[in-house]
Amino acid sequence: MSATFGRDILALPEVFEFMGRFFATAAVDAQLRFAAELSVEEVFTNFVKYNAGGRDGIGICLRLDRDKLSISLSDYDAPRFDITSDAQEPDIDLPLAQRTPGGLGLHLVKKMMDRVDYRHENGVGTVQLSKAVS
Amino acid sequence: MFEIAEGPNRELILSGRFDASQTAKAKSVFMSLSEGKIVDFAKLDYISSAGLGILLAAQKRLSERGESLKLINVNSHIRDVFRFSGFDTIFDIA
Repeated sequence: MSATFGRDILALPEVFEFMGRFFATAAVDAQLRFAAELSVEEVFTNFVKYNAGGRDGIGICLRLDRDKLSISLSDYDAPRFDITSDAQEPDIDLPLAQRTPGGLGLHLVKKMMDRVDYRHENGVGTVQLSKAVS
Repeated sequence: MFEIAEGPNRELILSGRFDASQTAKAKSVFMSLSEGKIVDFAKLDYISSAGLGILLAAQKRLSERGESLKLINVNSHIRDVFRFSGFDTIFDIA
């Protein structure tokens, strides 16, 4: 199941509605659904924030196989930014006074999904996420 | 849909989904706090890093006055998000 969304944080309710339609017919537990929704939001907002001038929308594709949920997010007309290696990891052990929210989103994606891959081809950045179905 | 209401004991009751499209409403409430608060998560289904950022900013601001937020009724999914973020050590989660 796939769709393309406007490059705007305010498109998130539409993204979640799309995911809700997918999960309505997919037998996955609440924990996997939560991880999927959070991961999609974090990657989607990363695309919006760091490629605000991109001309086209952001594509999302969801697929459920017998043992694995696969999610693909495509940022068209995007510069290369490999979220698996170019994003700075936050120090989650810092005391409150030194904590900043920067980098938390992609850190959470890596924690909550089993696999996070990135590729950049012909101006399209694609993040591929997957997690086992328990 | 995301809502913030004040409960009978002046606690903040969050409900719905606290995502990046809902930050304006939350920011106006949390950044106007001048004293510590209990924040009830019982009706909150979802939170992302955007929501965490607002809670962090409020907690840092309140801590400068010796005050803090105390989070109650946090579901297991959201508790995982706090743990993965290291926020379980900077918030009192009952």
